[in-house]
Amino acid sequence: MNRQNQNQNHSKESHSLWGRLSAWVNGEEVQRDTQQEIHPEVWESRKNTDVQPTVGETGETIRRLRGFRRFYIVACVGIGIILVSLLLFVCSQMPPFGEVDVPTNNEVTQKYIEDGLEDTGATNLVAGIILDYRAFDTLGESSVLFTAVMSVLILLKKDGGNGGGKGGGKGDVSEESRQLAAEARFSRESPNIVMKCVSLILIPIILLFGIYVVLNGHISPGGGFSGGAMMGGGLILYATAYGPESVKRFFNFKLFTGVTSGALLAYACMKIYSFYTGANHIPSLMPLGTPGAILSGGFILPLNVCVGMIVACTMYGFYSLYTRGEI
Amino acid sequence: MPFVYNFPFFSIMLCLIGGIVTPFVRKGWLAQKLNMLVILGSLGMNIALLVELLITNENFVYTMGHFPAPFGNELRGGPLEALLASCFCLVMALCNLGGVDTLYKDIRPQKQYLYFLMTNLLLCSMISMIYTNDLFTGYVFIEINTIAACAIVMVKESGETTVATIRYLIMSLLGSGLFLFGMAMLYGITGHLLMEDLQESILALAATGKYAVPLTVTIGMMALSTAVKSALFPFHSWLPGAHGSATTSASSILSGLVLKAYIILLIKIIYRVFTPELLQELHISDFLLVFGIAGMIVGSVKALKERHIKRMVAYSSVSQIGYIFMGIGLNSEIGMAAAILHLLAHAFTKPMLFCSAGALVETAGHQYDMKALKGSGLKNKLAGIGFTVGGLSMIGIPLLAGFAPKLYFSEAALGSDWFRLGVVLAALAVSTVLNALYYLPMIVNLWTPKKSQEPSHGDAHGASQEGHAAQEAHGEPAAELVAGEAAVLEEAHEAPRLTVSFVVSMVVFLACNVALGVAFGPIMDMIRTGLHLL
Repeated sequence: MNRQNQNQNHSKESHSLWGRLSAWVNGEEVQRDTQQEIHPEVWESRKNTDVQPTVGETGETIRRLRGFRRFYIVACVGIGIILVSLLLFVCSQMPPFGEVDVPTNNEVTQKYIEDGLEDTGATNLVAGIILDYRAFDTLGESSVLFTAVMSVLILLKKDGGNGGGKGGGKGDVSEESRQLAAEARFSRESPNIVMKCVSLILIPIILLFGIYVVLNGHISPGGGFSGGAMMGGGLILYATAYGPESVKRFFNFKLFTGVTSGALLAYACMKIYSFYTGANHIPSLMPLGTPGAILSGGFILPLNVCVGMIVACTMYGFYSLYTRGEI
Repeated sequence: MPFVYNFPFFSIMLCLIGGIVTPFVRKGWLAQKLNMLVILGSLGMNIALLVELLITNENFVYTMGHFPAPFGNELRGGPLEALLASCFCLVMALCNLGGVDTLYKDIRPQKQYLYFLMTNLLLCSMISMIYTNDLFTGYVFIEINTIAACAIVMVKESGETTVATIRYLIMSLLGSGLFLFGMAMLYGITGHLLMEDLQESILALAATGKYAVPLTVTIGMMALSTAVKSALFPFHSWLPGAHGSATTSASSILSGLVLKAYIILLIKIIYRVFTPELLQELHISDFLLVFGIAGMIVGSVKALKERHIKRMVAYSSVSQIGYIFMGIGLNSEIGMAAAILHLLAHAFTKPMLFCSAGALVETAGHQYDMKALKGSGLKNKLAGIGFTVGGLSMIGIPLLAGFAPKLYFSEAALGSDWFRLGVVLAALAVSTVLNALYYLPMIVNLWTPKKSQEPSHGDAHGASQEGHAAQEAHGEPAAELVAGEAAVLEEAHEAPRLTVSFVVSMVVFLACNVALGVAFGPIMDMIRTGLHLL
């Protein structure tokens, strides 16, 4: 019923600012004034053509849903106000941030600050904490990224059964590949000269800076997560400007899984070694090196490289899967 | 340090690496073999650890890395943790065996390896949540668990599962968010994340009365988040959709294990961080008791109205989760032990129900409706026996797993005050009757022969339409129940075939069920020792 209404309202509302905003909030394609911006064939393929009320949406259900919606809005606002005021009250009771005698300023932080350099060999204390002191948590976080990208793969990867959007069920491969080819052709041929020129200059700098941030993660601010995000952003920019086909020349699905799983596997193996030796009181063979040198900090440098690769692949993977359903 | 103390760490890493290398495999059957290898490996290690800990009767701390606890991460194991982890591995193996036939039909070949990847990661996260000694480590693995649990529902890729996954994901993320809020505030007022240090500072805070409001809200939030994630009564609405529509193995894993992992984390937090006394003082345990009892009744009533076999079994989970929270809410040692015993009993019973329900549904030609399932127990006897035993166990028939926990719940209630005694005993009685009211008709229905004069094709057609109507009544479109498909599936209807994996899974499930029902004394002793050492 909701969708029906929106379809009806679409024509008159779509040009107003509010209409566009609400369409955007609802996750629909925003109707542009100038359709030339999008290739007609691509536009057709992207439009969700089969928005029909299902059989169950008869008068009775619509009335029920309308009643529920009214209740829902009231309940939402009520619960929201209660929760927000509760949390604000709690926050006012919490110890103030940044004072000397707060509970968080205890022996743990002192130890990190005083012995961090000596223990981990990393001048970047944050890298030392997340990749050495509390490395198990960070391994978990990297696995969260891996889990997330694999879940998106389940949901969105087009492989002949789930794509197309025709009823959400059985699409056919030729239709999908036709759409993809049309989108690729469009992005190749579209005269986005400004974008192409700017990205031609920017992308090498972005990638290089990303690599720099990753490699210097243990001696300067940054590290695998931030540097990897930059590299992923560079790849996304390249794919946007020059079309996914050109990224595919050097970064295909096989390489994507290889790099993601390989980097995480290397990460896990290094950490297994260090956890095992630590727990059984065997001295680790990995030298810490001179703090401040590029080859220092024990496992932190290779771990940062692994994290950087995972994050870059994950970001690009999300972008690619969400836009086209393949990598 | 004995070498076996490495085993929790080894089993976590084995599952994690099993998950990480699965993308290189790309074939469903190969991924399944790898998955089974990983699960059996962790099972073996956890059992070895359990035996060792039962002999020495102690717990241990395992430093993850070169830095001891408040600075680095650590795991902590005792007999209870080892017992739970072993049971989780065993149930996980049996779930994946029991539903593997349907799994290959439900999930498209290109995505089958991803299902096994997700189960590896799920097991990894659950073992970590069992052994963790650090709240933040617990949170990290909650995240993995949340995503992987949604993924195994979604992987079936029908419209119904997608809708169910969205609901599940939203509720589950709400739970994660509350946990994160609670943890952040707890860190703000205590400055610790390690469970021992947290307990020390919390007791100090409670004694002085400093930061009383944040402390109360934090405890409430932690309890609330685990309640949302394990589908305690007012937050149960996502459960029937997710568990009822997922593929058989996924339903079994979700109901048997994923719900329980959060409860175990809650029990650990109660015992090792907040202490039961503080919980009683702030009346959080009374809330858990009330909502647990409400869940017991509401879940059963909803199941009573349900005609879709998997959704009925899923609503029954809501009621059983209510039992567990009731045990926790009684806040006595025996109540907690009974809750853990019920958790184990449910972990061994509900997956059996789901696996046999999945097989019966296949036998009846992919029909979920109660009418269409009539007589399917006669065609697939093993699945029928599985469902019957599971149903009787959930009702609480002696000699089956579900009986002993109810006995101990009553015992725990006897130790409480008069008001609670009355309420708990009444709730137990009413809920048992309700359980019987929905399980028995289904069981009788399974063993009643179908009238032979009806033409089987027309029958399937009619039943499918009814199934459709029943589904629409619940406002969820039935994607699969198309009459044409039902006709095609008539082939399977005639000749149910038992595969080795299904037989193995059912036999082990039945054996475990009877073992839990007969030898509950030693298991209860084990749990109580474990709780003392927790």
